[in-house]
Amino acid sequence: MSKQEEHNEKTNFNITKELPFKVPVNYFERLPSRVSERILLETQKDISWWKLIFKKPAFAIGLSLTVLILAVFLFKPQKKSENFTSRLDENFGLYSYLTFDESDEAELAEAYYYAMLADKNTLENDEEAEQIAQLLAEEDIFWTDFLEEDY
Amino acid sequence: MQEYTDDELLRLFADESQRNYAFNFIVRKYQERLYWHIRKMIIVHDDSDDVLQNTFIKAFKGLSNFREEAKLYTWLYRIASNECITFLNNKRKRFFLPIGDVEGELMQHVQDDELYSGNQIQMKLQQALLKLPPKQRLVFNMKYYDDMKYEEMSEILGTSVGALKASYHHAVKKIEDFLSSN
Repeated sequence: MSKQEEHNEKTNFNITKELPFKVPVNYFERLPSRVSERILLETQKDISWWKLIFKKPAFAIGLSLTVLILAVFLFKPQKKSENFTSRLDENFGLYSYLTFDESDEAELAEAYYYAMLADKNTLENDEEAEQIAQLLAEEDIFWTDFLEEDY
Repeated sequence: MQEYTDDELLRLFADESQRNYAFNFIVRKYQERLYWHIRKMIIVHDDSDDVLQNTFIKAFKGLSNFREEAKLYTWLYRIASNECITFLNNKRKRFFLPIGDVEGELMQHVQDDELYSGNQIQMKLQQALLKLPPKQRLVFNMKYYDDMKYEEMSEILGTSVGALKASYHHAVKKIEDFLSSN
């Protein structure tokens, strides 16, 4: 043994190596069953999604369908007509909508077209409809162009 | 209780139908040694109990991949040591405590603990030990209390024998200084 090792092995304090700690009564008798319980809980928690998918086809199918439905719901393109109709439903007012600052010509024309389809008679007899038609005419847009194309 | 060697226990554990039975024997066989190793580091019984259970759970999960060139006990000891260091680091982070405060808190616990059975001199030694950095304390405990060989400690802690000797030497020096000045 080298001098360094001798020094390392020796200590100048002569204190008993007995540990000054105690444990609660029957601690070591109970520990194995407590460890077993925790292992059971932990292994249940560790069942991964992948294992679940592979072991339970019904779960996999259910999960796939949920993902598919969510994807369709989230990424389905919305039709402009639906937008317009919904705005009408909210009593936004057709004229207000058409003259709304942020509306452009194409939007106005489209809006008018759908309004015509929705309630042709009302628009024809309505003073407001005339104003709308005038507004569109200023932009060289005529609702009859749409009718010719689609009818 | 029936006695099994480590090899026998590992063979039993490899059989899925015998796994829990084998592991229960492993716990019974090593629980006391591991507990005292942990308790010396963590000081508080309830925390030591948590760390010990975590050690066994990690061992259970990793035992299938255990390479048999290492001794089972050495491997368990390594998990326990890592769990101790992780626990102390987490405690420090959780309470934003500098190193001295965690050890100060542990010392307070020693003084108030009804599960402490030492005399005044042992209390002083604990105080001195708690002044050491956790890894140095680990080295000191393994050498002084457990009479472990440096080679074995090296295998457990993944540190060279030379570094362990130096670490132990520094720990002893610090403890001596503390005891002589107090």
